[in-house]
Amino acid sequence: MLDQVRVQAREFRRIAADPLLFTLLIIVAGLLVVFILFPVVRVLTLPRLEHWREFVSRPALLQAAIHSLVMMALSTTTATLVGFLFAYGLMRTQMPLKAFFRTLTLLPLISPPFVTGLAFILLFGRRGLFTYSLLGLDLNPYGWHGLWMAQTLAFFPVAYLTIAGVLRSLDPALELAAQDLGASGFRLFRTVTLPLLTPGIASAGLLVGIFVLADFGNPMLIGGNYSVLATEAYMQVIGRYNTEMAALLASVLLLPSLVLFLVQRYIMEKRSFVTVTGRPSALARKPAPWYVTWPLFGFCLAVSLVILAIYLVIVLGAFSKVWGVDWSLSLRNFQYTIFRQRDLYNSVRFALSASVLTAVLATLGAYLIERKRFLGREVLDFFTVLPAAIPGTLMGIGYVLAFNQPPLELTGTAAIIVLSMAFRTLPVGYRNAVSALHQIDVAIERASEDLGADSLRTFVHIVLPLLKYAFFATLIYTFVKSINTLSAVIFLISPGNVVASASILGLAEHGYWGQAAALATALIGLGLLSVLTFRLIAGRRARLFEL
Amino acid sequence: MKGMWRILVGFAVIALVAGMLVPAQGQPQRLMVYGAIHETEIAKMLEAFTKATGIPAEFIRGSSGELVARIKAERASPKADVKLGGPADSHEALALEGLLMPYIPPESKNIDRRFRSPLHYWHGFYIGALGIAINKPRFDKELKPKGVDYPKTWEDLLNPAFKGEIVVANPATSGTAFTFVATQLQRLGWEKGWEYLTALHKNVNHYTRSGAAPANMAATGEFIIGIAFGHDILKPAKQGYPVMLVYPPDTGWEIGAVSIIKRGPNPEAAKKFVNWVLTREAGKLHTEISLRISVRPDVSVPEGVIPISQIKLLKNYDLSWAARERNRILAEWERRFK
Repeated sequence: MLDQVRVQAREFRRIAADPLLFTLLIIVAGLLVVFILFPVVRVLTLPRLEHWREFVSRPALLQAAIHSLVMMALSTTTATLVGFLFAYGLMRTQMPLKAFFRTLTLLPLISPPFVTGLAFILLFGRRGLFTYSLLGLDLNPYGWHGLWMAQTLAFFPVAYLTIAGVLRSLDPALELAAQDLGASGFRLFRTVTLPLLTPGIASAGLLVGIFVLADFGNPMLIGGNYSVLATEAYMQVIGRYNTEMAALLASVLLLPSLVLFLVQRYIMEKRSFVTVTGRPSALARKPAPWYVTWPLFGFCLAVSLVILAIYLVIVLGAFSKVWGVDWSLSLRNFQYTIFRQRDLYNSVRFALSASVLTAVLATLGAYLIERKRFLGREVLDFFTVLPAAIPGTLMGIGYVLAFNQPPLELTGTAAIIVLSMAFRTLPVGYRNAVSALHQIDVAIERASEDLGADSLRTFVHIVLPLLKYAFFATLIYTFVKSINTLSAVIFLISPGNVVASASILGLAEHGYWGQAAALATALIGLGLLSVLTFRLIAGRRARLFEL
Repeated sequence: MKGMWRILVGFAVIALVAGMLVPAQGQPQRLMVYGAIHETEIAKMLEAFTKATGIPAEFIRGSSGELVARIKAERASPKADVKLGGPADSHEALALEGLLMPYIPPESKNIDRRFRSPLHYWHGFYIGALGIAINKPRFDKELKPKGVDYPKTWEDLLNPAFKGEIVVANPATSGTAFTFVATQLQRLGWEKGWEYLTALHKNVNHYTRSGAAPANMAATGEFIIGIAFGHDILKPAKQGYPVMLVYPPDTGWEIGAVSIIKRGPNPEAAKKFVNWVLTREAGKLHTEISLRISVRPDVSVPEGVIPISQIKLLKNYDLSWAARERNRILAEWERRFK
């Protein structure tokens, strides 16, 4: 223990002797403190004792907290289950249409949050295209059950990606050994595959849980009277002008989110000890039998068709004259998109700036934290990934509270929007860079240093070229997430700095569905285009959207 | 050492590019507008204002409550010049906190004094009355055969046949719904008013966030009945949705106002804007695109709109009572219905 501290202290002295490296370290640490820690602390310290008393005495607020937990339990379970079935089906069976399924699971991840909720009402609402016009059912989706379905659809891709990643990295040798020993079918799955997968599934579930807790768009649109903490905090700001209570609710929301986050981190750290057994061997597994493949295929097909319907409805809405009344094709809705092209332009501009900022900061941070053993390194590492646990609502309120007065007066500027976008996606960029660094043997860097290069020269000539795909993946990821983000940005927009996701909310709220759909279609198109560009340039050399 | 500097230069270049993508802040010539009317309407109004005066303008849209919260939060250094639209009681609430700048625009002489703040903190530019939106095909198919007639009064809405078929907004977030609740409390008195709202609650499926949403939900047939401002019901009707508008007697009303935020970045442009909003031309444009009724007698009512004189408004509806009692009303509402 003491030895470790001594080593770290020595490393720190070494960095201090390298003035540029030292400066960079101070800059990175300073940015993390100012733009992640400070806003969170501002939110946590705003409510006073009287507000906590009020919280406990108002049943409506306590209820929102309970609802948040209930939805977390329900939606997380189903989304993880659906995600698992998808992952297993796509990775372990020889079902047809795999590319189709894979593409469709990507859609919910790259589209604005309101799209799923809105399309859900249009499809499965009381006059829904599917439930009413096709099946003649009069279903009422407003409430916890509708929310449950929408969140399951919106978040299962997160679980799918995580579990698929684990399935990919599992060494088939263990399963083959079990097969040689006579285990097969469900017995093999239960005694070997599932135990190996458990940490992956648990970690997927915990990630989904964090997303469900922070979800703002879906409860807003189809929650009906079933309010949750994220929406209730927003209501407190806009309805009662009560910033303290909103900050309190956001703080309450942070607690379970942080717990899930810490447990997930713990599991992932432990898991890495188990699976680092060398590269997955090239041995081929026996494909799953037909009675596993075909039910899974049917299931994936059904879910994929629902997702496809959701996006078709949006595109249809964008191109039809009057939703539900006049289905004739028209470009009228896009005229407004062009009239308000500034919003779209702002979205692209801010997201571009944010993606450069995130990619630079994430790469630099990962290099410093991963390769230098200085004192306080774990703390820095924790701050860098912390935004993953912070609900957007809290981040938005925190930025308003932290940066509305000198010395850092940023409210009303474009910078505050760019910064919030950049720091919210920092954890993903950082993880991209760290896992890429893991694949580079330190020996290469040591060799470079032994040959006389200093650490920055090594960074530029050795590390950076090897990190370029991770860097690129972070650029695209941040861009796509940032053009769609809403829950934090909604508190930060100002005249002249409005982004498209916020105007979609404004349009949808007032029932301008066609125009909202047109703007949403433009955003989805941009997202698809970015992902396509990435695939064309990077191919399969780097992963995108794998958390 | 060379490599070091190269990366620093690279960093600086990237930062510069990022910095250029973020435009220069605070051009003083731009009018900053917080708008509570619909997205498309604000955009079109500002386009016309820029054309008329040469002053460029930017806006964000939010619900009235949201904008009031923003203006309060920014009191140390206001970011916007004017608040455009939203019921007068929200402007009155800001005036009571000392956040508005009084101004007497030349056009104010053409506005009836009932439609402006006595001290010129805010000026009304439109009037809206609450109405009931009815989805005609669904009503005729599902309720007519049971012998239920179209609701004509507020009391008609208590009919158990409407259970789960009425939508109205949440008064905490929607100026429309707050006007509705305040109307019932003033029409029937505090006790009786809450009794009415409690009875109505049994028929309400849920409370939406935006005040215009119930009109659209009735228009699409998502629900049979919605409570909203008349102009919000007429809009989907004009688009071709089969929705019917009924103004019940003793209905609540709002004055939609415009006001100047104290110490905003561009007060001269703000004054020009307020005066422009009150002109006949602006009134005509706004009425045309929004179907709301102008406060100016010389702006004619658009086709299909019922003139205010034919609507039986609740007499003595007290705006400032609603503004003063806002927190008490919302707390009671939350206690009963959440």
